[in-house]
Amino acid sequence: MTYETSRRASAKADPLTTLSDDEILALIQTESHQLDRRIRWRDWREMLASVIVGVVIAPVAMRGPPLARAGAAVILAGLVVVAGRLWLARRAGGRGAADTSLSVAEALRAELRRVSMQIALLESVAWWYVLPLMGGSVLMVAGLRGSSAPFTTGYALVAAVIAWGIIVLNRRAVHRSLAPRRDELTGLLTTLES
Amino acid sequence: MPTDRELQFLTLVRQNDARLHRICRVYAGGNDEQRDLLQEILLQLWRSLPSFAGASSPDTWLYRVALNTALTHARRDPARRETALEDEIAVDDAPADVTDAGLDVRARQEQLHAAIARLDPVNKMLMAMYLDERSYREIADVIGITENHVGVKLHRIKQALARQLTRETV
Repeated sequence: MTYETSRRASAKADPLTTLSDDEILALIQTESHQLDRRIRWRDWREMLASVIVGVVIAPVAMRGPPLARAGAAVILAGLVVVAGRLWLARRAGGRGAADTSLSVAEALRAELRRVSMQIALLESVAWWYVLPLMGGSVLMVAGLRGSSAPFTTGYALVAAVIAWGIIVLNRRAVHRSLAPRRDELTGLLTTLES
Repeated sequence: MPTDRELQFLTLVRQNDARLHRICRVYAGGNDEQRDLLQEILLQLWRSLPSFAGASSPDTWLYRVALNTALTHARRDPARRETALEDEIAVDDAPADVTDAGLDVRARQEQLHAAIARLDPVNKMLMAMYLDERSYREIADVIGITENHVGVKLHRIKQALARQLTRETV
């Protein structure tokens, strides 16, 4: 069989009978709105969490004992760093991060940039997320009036366990999900450009 | 009552029924999976519609959105990729010719489709557009490589498919 025969066979009209006009309109209206709602809810959730932590921490940062104020300041600075890193990570893919109208090569490169940035973020989570937030909270608890040494030690131990858990979970996410995706994207780009 | 934008979208979809369906069959196996992919592509087309301002031709734009969505879909569910095109055989029109020669052509067509199903996602994409009679220029615009490169890659794919079909025939 020649390629021309195959081309003719595959080029035959193949009407899309599975979806009616009404079904298509219903799909784009409901799914598109749901997607918009999910994105809005995610942004609101992150903003709300930052506001709550800020409201709880701010009084200590302004009126607490010196060590507690230092701890609160570290946490607040950490929140700014976290927000900044997440914002940069979302921009990492540039215009192509969610733009399916780019050429396939450009879309793959944009996705690769986004995944690589996510990997870098998760692999360094100890420095930009865990250390300022957990370290700051330990300092704050230690500096608060009425905190005994055993309580502070216990709190520090619990914070260390939580920190360890966060680091392990993030590394696992890189190993199981993001690294294979990066390898696959690299493979696709290599195939495309070879 | 559909809005102007919705009518424009429906016209676009209806004009490209066969093309969209073919892409779904290349990248997804089974009717349910193909329908899921089709819905995903329609959603992406709808969401990308405002960004389409004539920067590229409607065909190029549609292909880009559909293939980028299909590639993402294939990466999410790689296990189903292998079966993809094999199902297309059953969807093709049944051959009117039931003579030995007709059945032979049919069998060889099935072999070719099965061989295409085993290609990697990038080469599948090239074959999908080639089988849709797109020019090298159009394929290059959609994929983001040069026309020469498209020619070289298609030549290699055809050689690989020919080798595979020869091996299976022997």
